[in-house]
Amino acid sequence: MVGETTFERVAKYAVVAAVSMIVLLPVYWMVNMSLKGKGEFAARPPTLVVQQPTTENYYDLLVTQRFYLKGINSIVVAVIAATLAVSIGTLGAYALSRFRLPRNLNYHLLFTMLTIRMFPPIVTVIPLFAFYNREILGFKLFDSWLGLGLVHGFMELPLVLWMMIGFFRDIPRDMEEAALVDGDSRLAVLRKIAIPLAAPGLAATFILVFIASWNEFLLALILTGSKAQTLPIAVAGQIAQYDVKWGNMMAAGVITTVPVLILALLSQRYLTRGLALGGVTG
Amino acid sequence: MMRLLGSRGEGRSAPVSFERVCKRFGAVTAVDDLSLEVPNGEMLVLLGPSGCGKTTSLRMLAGLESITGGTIRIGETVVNALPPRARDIAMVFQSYALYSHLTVYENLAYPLRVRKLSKAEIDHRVRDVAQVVQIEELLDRKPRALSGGQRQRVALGRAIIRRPAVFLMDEPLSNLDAKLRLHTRGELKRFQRELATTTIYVTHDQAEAMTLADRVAIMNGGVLQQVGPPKEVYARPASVFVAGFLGSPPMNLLAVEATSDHGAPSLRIGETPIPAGDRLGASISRLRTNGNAAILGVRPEDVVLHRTEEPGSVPSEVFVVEDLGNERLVTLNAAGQYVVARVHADAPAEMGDRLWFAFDPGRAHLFDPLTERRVD
Ligand SMILES: Nc1ncnc2c1ncn2[C@@H]1O[C@H](COP(=O)(O)OP(=O)(O)OP(=O)(O)O)[C@@H](O)[C@H]1O
Ligand SMILES: [Mg+2]
Repeated sequence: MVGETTFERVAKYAVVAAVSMIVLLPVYWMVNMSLKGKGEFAARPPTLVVQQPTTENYYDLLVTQRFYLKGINSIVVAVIAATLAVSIGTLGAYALSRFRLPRNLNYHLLFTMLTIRMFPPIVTVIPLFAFYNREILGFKLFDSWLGLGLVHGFMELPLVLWMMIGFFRDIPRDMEEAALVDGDSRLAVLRKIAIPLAAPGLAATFILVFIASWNEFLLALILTGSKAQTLPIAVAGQIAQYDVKWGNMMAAGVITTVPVLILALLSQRYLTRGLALGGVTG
Repeated sequence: MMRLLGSRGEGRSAPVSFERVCKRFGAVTAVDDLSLEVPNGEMLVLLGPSGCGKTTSLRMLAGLESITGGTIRIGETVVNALPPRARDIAMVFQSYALYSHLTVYENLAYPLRVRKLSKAEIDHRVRDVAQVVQIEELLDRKPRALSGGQRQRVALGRAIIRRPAVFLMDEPLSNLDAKLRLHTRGELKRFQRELATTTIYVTHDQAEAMTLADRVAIMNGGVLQQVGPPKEVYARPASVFVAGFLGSPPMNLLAVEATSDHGAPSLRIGETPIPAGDRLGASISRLRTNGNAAILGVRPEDVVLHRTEEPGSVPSEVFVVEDLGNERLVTLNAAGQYVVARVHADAPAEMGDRLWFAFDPGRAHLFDPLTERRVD
């Protein structure tokens, strides 16, 4: 920055470094522990830096337990959830941001949607469990990719609505009007003008829903069995009845965290731009 | 330029009619009982001060704003409930409204792509129009990399690239520099004549209105004041508002006492009676005022200055003199009322001088102070 003194610059970096350390310490500890063998776990006090790094935890997890299958479950469920929430939420958000309903219905609808997020998930999980165990057209939603994807997508719908309304509101109204005059229908305007202009926001929203589904625990725990089980449940599964497999658990934690971390880093540009553009301010 | 326009018969230009059209935004009446016929091929200029309802009228015609009351027709079709795309119009927005994610080329091509023209035809037309509005070297840029004037030309190009039933233009030249504005104004007029497409053009610049219009429609506060050819609205303003709006400086409006009791009708300005002449004299009886107050309108160029008292002249004192190079504007104070005279640059007048002014009653107008309408 212009006119910054050396002291100000040093102070700035010191603060950033301190905050980063606090935030990253648990992550470091997780990685550190995931590389320790059985013997090193017993060491008291615990070693701050792993002395004899080993991949035995990872081997056990990936080869013996076939942990990657849970990863595939997580990916499929998250993609279903994000696709569903973003496509439905985008249409809804566009309608709510462009058409004025009578009696302030726009606002009431949005607020009602928001209340979905105010329910503690535990309230809905029991009826959902009962419902998911019924056969509909010869298909049970329980322990299926679609079943969990649906619930996760629905849960994140309000987030998508609120974020996308912000992005759509930032698009100049007369740009769309010009397209209407030029001969487009509303739907063509959405496709050719609104969505391209809101693309960074759309990407950011998709990623946020994906991460939310990836991390979700309670619903995934109750609505899946062994077939569609997602990563967080499998991580917790390392706690057996009489013993906690700390090494496996830490390795599972790393495996679960790394993909979203990479995703977030790759999409950093969209996330910050998207979130700065609208959503929060809109 | 004219290659683009091609065969004259190709345009499907259509007349436009507003019939008792109203637009209310909550408590605000933006357009009030507007009735206006625009014959096929005419260039009508909507002129009026800021906020008088010009843009709103255009937007109702374009289908971007619902109509509170009345009927709008394009050709024979009542378009009140038709979506914009079914109205066959092209519009230049006051704010350009360029597609910011598309290049200039794609902006121009947009209306043609919607209509599924062939690639070759689109390319041909885009290059033609780019030449007309002088943006050939900008075709690959995005709108954000253009100046205000360049954006406006792209907006203009996007409107004229197809041959609609009606052109709507909302202050399309307001952001160009003086030279380019004059140039584009000329091009636009030629273009419109050549194409003979009905055009409704909004501006608050009188010079633009006067030079471009077949007819001018003057609005104020959502109410249509007068419609007519430029010369006519200038020479015979229908109301005090039009008289005071057109011309720079506008018509002088003086409070007078009109009497036609004994013998020759006369107008009294302050203490000085002057003969009203036949035309104004005959109109005095049409004043609806009780008493005999009236408003006299005289164009600055019709005011004559005298250094000595002449018959029918009014004594006054020079309040200020403004030199414009080829002429000067002399503001006079006549018993508390100000009168502007537009005179030759050499006409002698100094601040504080005592002068007499006169005018030809045959070129002056009389307005009713109650209705504010012209009575002569
Ligand atoms: N969406 C709206 N809601 C409420 N009032 C509006 C709306 N649009 C326009 N108005 C009001 O209607 C009146 C006419 O506005 P309009 O935009 O037609 O004016 P204009 O003649 O185009 O002015 P300008 O020369 O400044 O562009 C104004 O008083 C304006 O405040
Ligand atoms: Mg306007």
